[in-house]
Amino acid sequence: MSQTQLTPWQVYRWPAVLAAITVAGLLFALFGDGVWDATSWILLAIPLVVIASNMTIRKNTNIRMNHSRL
Amino acid sequence: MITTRTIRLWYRIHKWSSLICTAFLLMACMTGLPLIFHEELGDMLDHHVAPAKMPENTAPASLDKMVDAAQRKLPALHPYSIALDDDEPRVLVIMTPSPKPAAKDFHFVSFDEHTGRMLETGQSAAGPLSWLLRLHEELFLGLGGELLMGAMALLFAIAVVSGGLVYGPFMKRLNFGTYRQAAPRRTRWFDLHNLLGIVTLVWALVMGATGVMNALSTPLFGLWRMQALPPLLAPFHGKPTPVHLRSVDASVAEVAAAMPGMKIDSILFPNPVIASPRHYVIFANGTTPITSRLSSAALIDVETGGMTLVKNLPWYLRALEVSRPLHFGDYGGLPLKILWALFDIATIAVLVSGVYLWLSKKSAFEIEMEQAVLAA
Repeated sequence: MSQTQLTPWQVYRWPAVLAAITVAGLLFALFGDGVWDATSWILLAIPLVVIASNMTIRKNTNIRMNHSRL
Repeated sequence: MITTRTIRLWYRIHKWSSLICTAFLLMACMTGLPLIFHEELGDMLDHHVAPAKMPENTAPASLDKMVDAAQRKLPALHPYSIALDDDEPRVLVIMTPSPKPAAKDFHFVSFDEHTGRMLETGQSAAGPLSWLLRLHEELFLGLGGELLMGAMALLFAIAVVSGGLVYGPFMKRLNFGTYRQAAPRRTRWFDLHNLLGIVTLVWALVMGATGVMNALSTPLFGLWRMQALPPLLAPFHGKPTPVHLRSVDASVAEVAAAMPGMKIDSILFPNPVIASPRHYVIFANGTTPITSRLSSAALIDVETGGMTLVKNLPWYLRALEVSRPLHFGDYGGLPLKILWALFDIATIAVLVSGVYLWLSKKSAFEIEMEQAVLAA
């Protein structure tokens, strides 16, 4: 396994962005109605869209592991 | 630098905290799913008599008359509290057989807030949604069950945090979002567990933390009663509850005048067990989205009308009040509830895939990878 290793920053940057988006989404609807609620809906939908797109879209570039070992 | 020992420790914490709480969490997630929509389902399940449509600022009808009418309707029970509905112009007079009733013993009579017309009577703990709620929050075991569920919520929060920590070492050679559709089943479930787990991490952590808060609500309110009420009630110690109670309407008006900008939320009748034997406890909420979750309370002497303001509830009760909507997801309309349900389903998938990963035999590939990760 001599493939490149990711740094902790590379591993955690997207989770960190999604965590910040989720926190904002959870709080916005708490502080107001109307536009605040709508902002929450959009922000909280982002993590779910990320899940759905990663599970459905085929990608070949995201695997650093040598697949021949399988 | 993070050592292999540390990673092993996180991994063990993740494994054991998850394994202990998984069965309870699966139950909580599955019963929670319909409970997210309890308002919508409740309207569908119960035939619901709607209050009359009235212009805004119509004067409310007399609460005293509603209490009298409820008493005539259910003569064997005693008035316990009055709740003013947030969403509809409805008033619920809650009637119980004793001062400290069991969850199934709450009866209510609802009234039109404006016309004072009686709408319907019912039992609060009847019906499938109350059954689900009691399973969800206390496993039908009362306070013991509530605290057990609180402990499970705490373990879940620990599992989520430790899961976030072991995510790093396990994903060292995988890009974010990796989901290997063509790979063997265990690899696929491993990817699914990582992807769903890390993306829903904050939501799951908030559910765990607010779940703990909710489980502690009964003891916390008890603590507040023990700390805050005795000094206020000391002068009245040993005196019996007066037979004739002064007007609820007048008491509410008094509190409303003392708390401008607040909306009266509920009124607790004199109660020797859970509150004061000779006061109405009147709770008022703020009127903005955030302050509407924060209540203030006032005690009104049922004989003299003398008022004692308990304006600032202690921080732990305020934290509890704000944490409630964050657990229920009921503060941003139907779209927020749908998002809540999707996060809930994703959490079920994380739990199930976690159990699968624990049960299934590791492939040679997984063992090799985990060893490589742990040895790195």
